[in-house]
Amino acid sequence: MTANSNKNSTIPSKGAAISTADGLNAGVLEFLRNGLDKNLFDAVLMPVKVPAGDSYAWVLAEDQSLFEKANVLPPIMSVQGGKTLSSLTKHGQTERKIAAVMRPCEIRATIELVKLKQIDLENIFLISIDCPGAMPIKDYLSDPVAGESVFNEAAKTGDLEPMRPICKTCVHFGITSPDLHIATFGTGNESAIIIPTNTKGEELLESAGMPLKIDTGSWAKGIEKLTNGREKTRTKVFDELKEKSSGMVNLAATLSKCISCHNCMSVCPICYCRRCYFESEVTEQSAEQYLGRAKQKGSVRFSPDILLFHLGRMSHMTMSCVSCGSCEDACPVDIPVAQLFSVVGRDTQALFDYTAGMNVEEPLPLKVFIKDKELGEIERICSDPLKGCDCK
Amino acid sequence: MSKVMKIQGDIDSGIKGILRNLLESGKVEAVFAVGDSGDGKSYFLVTDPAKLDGIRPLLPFMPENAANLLSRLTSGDTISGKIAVVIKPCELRAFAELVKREQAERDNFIFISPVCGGALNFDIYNSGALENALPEYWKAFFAGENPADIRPTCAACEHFVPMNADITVFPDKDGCELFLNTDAAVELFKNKSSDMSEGEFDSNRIEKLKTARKAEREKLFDELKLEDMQIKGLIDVFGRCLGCHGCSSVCPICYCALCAFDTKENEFQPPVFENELSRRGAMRVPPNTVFFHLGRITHMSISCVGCGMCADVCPVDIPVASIFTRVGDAVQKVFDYIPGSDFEEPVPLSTFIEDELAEVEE
Amino acid sequence: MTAKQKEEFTPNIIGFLCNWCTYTGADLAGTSRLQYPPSILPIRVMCSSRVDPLFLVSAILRGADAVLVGGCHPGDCHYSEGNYYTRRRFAMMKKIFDTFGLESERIRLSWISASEGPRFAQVVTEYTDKIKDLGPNKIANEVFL
Repeated sequence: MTANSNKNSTIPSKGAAISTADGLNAGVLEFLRNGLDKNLFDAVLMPVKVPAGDSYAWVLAEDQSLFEKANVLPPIMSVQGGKTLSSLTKHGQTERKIAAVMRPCEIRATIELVKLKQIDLENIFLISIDCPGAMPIKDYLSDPVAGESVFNEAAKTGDLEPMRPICKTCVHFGITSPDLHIATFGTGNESAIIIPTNTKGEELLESAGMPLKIDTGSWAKGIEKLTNGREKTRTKVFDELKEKSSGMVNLAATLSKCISCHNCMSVCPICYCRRCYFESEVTEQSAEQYLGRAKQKGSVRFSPDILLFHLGRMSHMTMSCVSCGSCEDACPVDIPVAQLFSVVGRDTQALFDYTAGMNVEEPLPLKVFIKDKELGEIERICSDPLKGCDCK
Repeated sequence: MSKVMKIQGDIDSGIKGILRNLLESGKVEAVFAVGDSGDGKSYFLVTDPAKLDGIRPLLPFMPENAANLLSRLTSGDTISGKIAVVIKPCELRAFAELVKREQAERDNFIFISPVCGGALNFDIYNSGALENALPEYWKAFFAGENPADIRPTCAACEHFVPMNADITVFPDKDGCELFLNTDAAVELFKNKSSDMSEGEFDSNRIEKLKTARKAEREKLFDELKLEDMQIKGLIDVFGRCLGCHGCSSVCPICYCALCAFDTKENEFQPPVFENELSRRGAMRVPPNTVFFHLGRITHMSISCVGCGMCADVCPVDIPVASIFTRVGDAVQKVFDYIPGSDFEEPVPLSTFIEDELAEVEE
Repeated sequence: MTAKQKEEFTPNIIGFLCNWCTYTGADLAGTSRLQYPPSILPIRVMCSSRVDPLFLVSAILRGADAVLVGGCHPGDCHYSEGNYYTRRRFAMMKKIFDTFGLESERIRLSWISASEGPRFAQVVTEYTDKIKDLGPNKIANEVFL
């Protein structure tokens, strides 16, 4: 297993300048316009304000008139960017080159989906931006106009208060991997740095006539300092939640309001199965079986198998969980499902020294193995199986 | 004329007492009703009378549409023993629609359904205010008014008296009346025949609430202004849809194991994306947001019972229930159909009259 | 729309035509050299009841100016009852379109038998004219569908 720590190992030392004198959004859109005009790519995938003005939708655009309503870093995360790229490329690569601007967790979900063969990045340029977090969708919806200004203020000052709980514990809000990253934290009000993270990104900037003259060192240091602080918050919040939900009784209590709507699974970018295992014939039982279960304990809850669904979904996807928080936004009964799944994701990924979504070359831990010696501590080796086991 | 039983005292404990008797005497093998579940509420299938403590049969809250659950219980086969089921009128109607579609079996269920004051909304549930809302809720109901904080589709529901149940419960200030509508119901209580009288449900008793509901329904439909919507209006109202399909997941009528809108055929291949992008200059992705909703309407509006679960689970608070109830109402009126009111009445789209609807063809 | 625009506008009408009646009738119109506007895109289905209401929604949302469903006259369906179901579904679809103000004139059901070549030509001509009056489907350029 590659020894990858939670932090990204190498940050490229140089980037190009993007003017943000008219605001970050304007600066990034200018870069995108430039790319379209120079035919570096043929279309752009970005969040655009919906006609009713109360949300954002991903729009694939060659038409630049929509740029007026575009916002590369909207206050909310509506549809997860990874899911959107999945929809676009699961049946094959796009016919034209597309530049996609997304939050780091959406890029990370995309990387995992590439490994899961749900996304083909052949004609896609991925661009991420330093992420100040996202507001809970319900908070934004209660007053979209106020939501915009609350978000913008908080983004400027680095205030996490209005953001979703999962954002407050995020340690991967900076650079991820392909192909370009826009660094904004601590770069000042006049400019940002666009950093290529691979050859594809470098070539794009070269064709755009954007020389790599800006040093990323001080930005990287700032990010590292911020990350250290976040690590502490993350550890505290996650360990508290883990404590509170430990054991079947506590876990059941945390999930007691669940109504089995499966929204969490539906919006999760990693959960791509057309028909979820937990909604298939495999988990169906006969009337006799349900009645039998009721008789065992005197009563059975309907919908049954809430723990099975959540624990099962964890076993299926936490190895690739990028803590994007779409699940918690979608839960109609306010269960802290993103945080719960992230706690498990943190621990299961750590087993294999794996961080979901950071490196497209790094294989999914459950798809590879080291033949000879690994995970010996998981096995119990009985000295003499015939004599009976005396292990504790 | 039905046999009528009167139960004195607190509503919940009265019905619970009945359920306990039925279980203890072995008249039913199990009981299906809403109850406390940790911090939440859910349905339970109870076989042991000792487990009835947390059961709240007439709780005015709908965690899931029970029709879905009963369908899950019987999708393979009929349940072998008698089960007393306490569900709301809309859930019973949804169940009837599922039986007609061969997605559930009715045999051996004894349906006990109350005259319904509406279900309290999810905001009340989530904020932990459900229990505290109950006294005011019942006060309003007994006064013939729409209680506060019920869902919009509940406030506008005109089918709140479940006459197709085995037992219709009419809760009142000093207890409830049970109208035993079927032989199966009378059979259950035959040892209590001395407690019964003959009677008929007097609809005058709910006249005030019925009027209030009718007014609310007209108001709700009026405010929606669906006729003025056109495509731009549809884009506006469904603009913030995330495509989570939660509405379809919890809908009792949407029973398809693999929804048409989740199939490969309804996903775009690269040439289609290319074609759409070239033609329009820009396109929303994932595509088919409005298509999903209009399409779901064409598939299920004939049987929409207005239960409102769809809006409960919508992460972006689209008034799906109000819209679908309104369209459902219009479509159902074309065939003079009240979904689920009659287990024997076929779903209008699966039957025909040879000589009808000549005006449709041009 | 100006008169000139109307003249230049050739509606895009998707036609779901049943194999046994309407499609054959359309063939007959062809072999009889009957003239009708080139607005219809015929799609052969075995029975008009094959037409899932979703096809109508999909066609309109993807930009078709109109959809014509052609089937056998009631009582003459090759599969005995198919067209009775079609008729009911159409009644529902008309109501759904009307409820949302979606120009229900853009969907049409016509009974055209195998021997009714002239009727087929007449229906297409009439319908094309009607859709010309209505104008092109404005949905064609919507981005946020």
